[in-house]
Amino acid sequence: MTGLPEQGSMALWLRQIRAVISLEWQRYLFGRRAIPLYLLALMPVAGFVANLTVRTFGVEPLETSEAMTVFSWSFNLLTLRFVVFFGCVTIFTNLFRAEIASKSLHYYFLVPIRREVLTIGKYLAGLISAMILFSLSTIMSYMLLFASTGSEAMSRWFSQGNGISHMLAYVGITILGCLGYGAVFLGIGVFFKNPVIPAVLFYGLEMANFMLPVLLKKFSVVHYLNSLMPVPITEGAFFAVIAEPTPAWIAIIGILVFTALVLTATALVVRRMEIKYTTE
Amino acid sequence: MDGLGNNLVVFRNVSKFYGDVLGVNRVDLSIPAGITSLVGPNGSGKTTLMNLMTGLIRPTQGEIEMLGYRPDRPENCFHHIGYCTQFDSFPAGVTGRKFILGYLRVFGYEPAEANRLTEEALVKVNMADAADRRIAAYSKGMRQRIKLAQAIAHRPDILILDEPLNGLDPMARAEIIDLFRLLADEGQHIIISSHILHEVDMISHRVLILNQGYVMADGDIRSVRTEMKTHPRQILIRCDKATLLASSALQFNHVVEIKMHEDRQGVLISTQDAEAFYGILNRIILEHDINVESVTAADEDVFAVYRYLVTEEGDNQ
Repeated sequence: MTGLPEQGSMALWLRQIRAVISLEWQRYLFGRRAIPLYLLALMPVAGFVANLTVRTFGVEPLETSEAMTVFSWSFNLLTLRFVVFFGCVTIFTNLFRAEIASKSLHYYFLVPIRREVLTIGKYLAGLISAMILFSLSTIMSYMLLFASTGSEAMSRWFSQGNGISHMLAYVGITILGCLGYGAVFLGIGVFFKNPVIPAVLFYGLEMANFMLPVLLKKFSVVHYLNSLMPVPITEGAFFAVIAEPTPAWIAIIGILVFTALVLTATALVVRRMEIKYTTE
Repeated sequence: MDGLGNNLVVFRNVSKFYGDVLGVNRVDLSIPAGITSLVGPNGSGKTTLMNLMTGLIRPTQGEIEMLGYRPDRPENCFHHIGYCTQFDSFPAGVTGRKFILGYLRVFGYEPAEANRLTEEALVKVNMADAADRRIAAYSKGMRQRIKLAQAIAHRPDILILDEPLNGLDPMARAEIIDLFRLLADEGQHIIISSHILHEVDMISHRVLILNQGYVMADGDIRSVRTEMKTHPRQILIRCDKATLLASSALQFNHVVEIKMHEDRQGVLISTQDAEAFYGILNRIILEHDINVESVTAADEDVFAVYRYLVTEEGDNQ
């Protein structure tokens, strides 16, 4: 076994993770599988392009404060709860499930790599694809919306106001969303032969989050993400149960811990997974 | 035990059930280096046995060791095992070279070493010229060869091949069979499943005959045949006085049937005790001054053993 780091060493695992990422990450950025993801990522962008076009031709420019609120709502309802959510469904449920469907997962299982390391490699590959797509979508949407406040107001907002810090916060929330939802959907793709039904159920839970009792809210990803919004949004007027926002550091650590737990459980299932393509 | 504790592939009382369906049952095996062929009809358990060896499925009961390694610990055992499955499927959009190289990188090899091993494997299966084309554009035979290259690229000690000759033209078959022989001569375990019995017969040092999830016979083909007491062994003798030889042979109780060849220059003798017959044959030849052209065991091959153990067994049920 020349040219290989010591068995079980961190150096070997890192090298193997890099190799898995390099095999996987482009699958969701290029090729046919990427088309629905691009469509999803372009949804908010397209909305803000339309808004900018309308405002360029005669309608009053938006006030900066208005734009802040509009973006916060749009980000919460469209980007987080729809684009990032369903983007992660598409990417992460397929990391194992698509390879089972195409009968090519066994090639990984016949390589001397710990299945836990393989799971992390695949997760990181999916995460890279999701982060690139949805962070870019968030940045473009943000820039396009603030472009409709007029060039002067926009330049003031970015140079003297909170433009950059808010934008980075939204990008950070997008990345945390990809982390949390990614782990959940990787797990769903491994645990369930048909991941659609559990994904829809989870979607219902996330959408109904504003109505859930305070304790149950703490078990959702979106609750922690909402706590990090630079411009807080008021939750729905009807049946909403208002919970104190979680402090930022707890929200971030909470999502990271949640992600680690779900990934660990998934890796343990992958460790015991058998290849029986005909029964899948 | 985990690690090259012995040089055997060992199954200890291994059974595999898919729900209520039997995959293999109570398999006890010990396979040494050399070429071992798994033979049996569809659904007999050949692929199940191979998938068990490679940890793609786990036994319902029993233990498996591959040169002392447990197949459920891929990080240890797959440095030593290469498996060319029967699945004709590949990751989407890759070329032959990237297919082999990509998985070698997952082993942990540096790019230069992975490239070298990839090139070596491509040359071995005669695919170097087509390596940069997409696998989707390959013929069935080329896909079979690129899978084989992927299985041997890391130079495994055990090579497991599920129907590796499928889809290959006669020329490619001959080349691949030569490759198997070469690898076996280097001390590798080559475990092959195949439906092509005359090729199995030609290349195997040892056969394992499976039927309905049970191992019906295991060993080198001659000793397997010798163990089959219920079927008389057939000996074909080509000589100038076939009728005289036949009448002399009939005097012995263990000779149960004699068939004359159409040209009267040959006789097929069925005997319950082949060793005794060979002794008597010498005496008959000397006594009657018979010129013998050839003496061959007519049913000491995989065809015959397969027919007796699998086909007739099936007919009797």
